[in-house]
Amino acid sequence: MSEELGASSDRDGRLAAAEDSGSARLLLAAEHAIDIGVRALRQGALTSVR
Amino acid sequence: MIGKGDRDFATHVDLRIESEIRASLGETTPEIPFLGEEEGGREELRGARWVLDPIDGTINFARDSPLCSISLSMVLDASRCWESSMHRFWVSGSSPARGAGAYLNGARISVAEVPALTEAIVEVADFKVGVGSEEENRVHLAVLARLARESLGVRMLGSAALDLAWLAAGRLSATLMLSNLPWDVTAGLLLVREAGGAVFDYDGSPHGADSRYTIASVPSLVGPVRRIVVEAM
Repeated sequence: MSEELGASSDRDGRLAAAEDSGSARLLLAAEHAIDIGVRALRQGALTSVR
Repeated sequence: MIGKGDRDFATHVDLRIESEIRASLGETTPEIPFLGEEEGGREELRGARWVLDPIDGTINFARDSPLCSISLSMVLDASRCWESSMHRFWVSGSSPARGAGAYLNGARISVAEVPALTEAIVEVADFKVGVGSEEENRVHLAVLARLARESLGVRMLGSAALDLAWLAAGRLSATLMLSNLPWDVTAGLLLVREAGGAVFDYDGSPHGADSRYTIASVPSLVGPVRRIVVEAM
C-alpha cells in the first residue's frame, strides 16, 4: 500500500503550486532527495538481514 | 544494527539514506545547511536548514514493520516550518509550504472531528531510554493510566513522524510526545497544522523549538489532552 499526503493531487500540481510561491527549486531538490532516500530504503528492506 | 546508546540503534540503511540525501541536497541547494539525526549538522535556530530523519521508526524497520518513514523538512527558524517534504515507506507525503494545505492521495484532508476524549484515539510516543529516562517514563506511565480511564483507545506506533501524519489524516485524535527533537517532528507538525490540528506544549503555549513536549490534537481536545499531561507531571 502506498499513500501520499501533499498539497496538490500530484507532483506536477505541487510543483506548480510551489512555483507560484517561489519555492519550486527547493521543492524539486526535496523531491529528488526523497526519491533517492526511498530507493535506498526499499533496497535496504530487501537486502537487510533481520 | 549499530548501537548509539541504551537501546538506541541505527541501521546501515539509516546511515546510507542520510548520506545520500545529504549529498543530493548539498549539490542542489549548497547554500542551505543540513541537520540529520545520525550525522548531526547545524543545530542553531536561526536561518533556513534542511532537517532529516533518515528512518523514523528504525526499530520497526529492523523488525520488518511498515510503520516507519523518511522525514525531511525545511525549517526557517525556531517556530516556522516553511517548506516540507516527507515520504514514507508505506505512507508517504509532502506539503510544499505553510498555507498550501494537506492532501492524501490527491484529496484534501483535515483532522477528525472528535467532540470528547471518550471518543478519541490517542497516540503516545515510545518510552524513553537512557540517561534521565526514569523520571520521563514516570510521567509517561501516568499519562497512559489517565488515558486508559478517559479515552476511547491508546496507540503506540513507534514512529513520531507517522503519528503526526496519521493525526493530519484523521486516523488519530491526538499524539503525545514527551520530547521535542527536530528530526522527529518538524515535517509532521506542518502536516498537522495544514490539516487544521493544534500543536502545543504542556503549558498550552504554541509548539516551538524550545518546547519541552510535543503535543498535537484536534482543536476540540486541546484542553482535555493538556490536562491529562499536566496532571501526570
